[in-house]
Amino acid sequence: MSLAITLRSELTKTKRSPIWILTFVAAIIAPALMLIAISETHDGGQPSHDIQKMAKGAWDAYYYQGIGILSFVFLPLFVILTSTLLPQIEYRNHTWKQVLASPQSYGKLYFSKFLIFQLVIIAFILGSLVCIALSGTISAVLNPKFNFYAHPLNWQKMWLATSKAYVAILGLSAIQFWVGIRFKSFLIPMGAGVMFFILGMINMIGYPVIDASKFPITYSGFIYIDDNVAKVTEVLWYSVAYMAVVLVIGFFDFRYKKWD
Amino acid sequence: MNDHYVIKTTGLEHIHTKGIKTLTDVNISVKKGEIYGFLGPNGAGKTTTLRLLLGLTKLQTGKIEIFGKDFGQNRIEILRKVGSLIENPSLYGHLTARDNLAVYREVYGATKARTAEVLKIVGLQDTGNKKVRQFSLGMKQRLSVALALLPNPELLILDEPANGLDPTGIIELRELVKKLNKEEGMTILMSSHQLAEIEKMVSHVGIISKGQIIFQGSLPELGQLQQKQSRLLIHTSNDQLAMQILQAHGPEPSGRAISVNYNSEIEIAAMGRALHEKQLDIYLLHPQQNNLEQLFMDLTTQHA
Repeated sequence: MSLAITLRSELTKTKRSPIWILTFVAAIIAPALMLIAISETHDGGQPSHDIQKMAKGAWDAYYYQGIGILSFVFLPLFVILTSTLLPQIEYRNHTWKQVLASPQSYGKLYFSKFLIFQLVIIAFILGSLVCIALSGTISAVLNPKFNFYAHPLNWQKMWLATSKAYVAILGLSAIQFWVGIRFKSFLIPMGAGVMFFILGMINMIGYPVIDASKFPITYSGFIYIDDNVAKVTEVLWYSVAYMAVVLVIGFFDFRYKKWD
Repeated sequence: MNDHYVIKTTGLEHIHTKGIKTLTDVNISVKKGEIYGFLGPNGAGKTTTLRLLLGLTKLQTGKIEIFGKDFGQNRIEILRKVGSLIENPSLYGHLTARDNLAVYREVYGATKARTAEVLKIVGLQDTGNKKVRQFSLGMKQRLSVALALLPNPELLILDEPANGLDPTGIIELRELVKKLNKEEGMTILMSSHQLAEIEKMVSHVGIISKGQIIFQGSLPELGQLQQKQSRLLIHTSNDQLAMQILQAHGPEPSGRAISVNYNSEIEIAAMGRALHEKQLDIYLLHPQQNNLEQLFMDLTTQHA
């Protein structure tokens, strides 16, 4: 039996589940905030510095800001939240025993669930990009001085930034996926994820205790800090390595877990 | 090679994580075409045994062969031909009946027509877009049966399938099980804690109590055991003397009478003659034949 069959089976389970609604609602938040935050005028009509930022290329600047906000906050929080939603489909419905009594290998089950999780993350990122475009279009009307249509979007730069954000989240996504499958209660993975994310942010931008380039929870934010430019490539490799190692450990845990 | 056995377990033992032994030397043999009733009181070890058969619980000691092959080494190949319903319904509440079957359709290599067919078999073909979480417990149980039937299995394992079904549902289930066995040739293993619930459909019975198999055989064999366990109630003008005369039949006081074992009507006549020869007046001579349910209760209680 091919992996595609298990993948289709896993995808069918997400049909009518809140996960897709959450994905697209979450994708709206950051672009909506940008409409308020990036404006020609601030503080009662005073001209803002945003006009200068946008002068060299409004679309490029707008997307850079958008992907930065996503990468720093919304993407890791989304990963932490949805990592619990997918395994909860099985836990909440008491369906693990039926799944494991069906003729599917543990490997195909585990990795197809991880791939569906990645599909949800990619849908969130793509949804966010579309919403940033809509947000930019509205911003162009509200803020004519930004002169959006003077310079076209540098697509290559935009996709590169997006790809980096995605690669940077792989480590966190594997860790959260493992914890989400490991525990029946959704509070443990979600609580632990949010706590380590907050601690990681404090460590990265406020009070450094450990080397942030070794802490995968905040990698997607790490790569957007100007001082870390030299370490970006290294951190992206670390993220992939974390994903590989955690996936293997998580698989053996899944394989030999006692399913009640 | 036990190729005529669909299920054969040898020396299954299981110790719970808290150190409690839940199974002791469980040997089950189910031949092709049998409807095997796996009986035992709650907590006797039925579900643990069935979970082991499906690989849901890790095998600690013993051997499991299904379709003549070692389960551990042929898990996927075996599960392709097994339909199962373990404990409560395992269904996705946010999906419709059809979508629930769609989750497993390709996994079992079933066609779309088969999906419609099994829904029709369990009478759920008209549930449309209604989500499973809105179903009654009986409907959920029926959908679980449909799911178990989806692969058109050679072996059907049903754990307490009558749970949540009303009397009509139980009768329908009984007819369905018989039909699947007769027309499709399915071998069926079903557990229950009530003999009365399944005695009308099973051909063979295994009784488990406190993790040990205390009876295994065909229904006629259980009937013979029932006969062996039958008692005769006797009241005479001198029951003390009667107990001495019938010493070989294990007499026991029973209210104002005595109770003795018997195996046949000929033995009853012989006992009557023996009492008469000793000048005893016989006031009561009443055979008390156990029904199967009573026998099941006696067996499990004696073992406990």
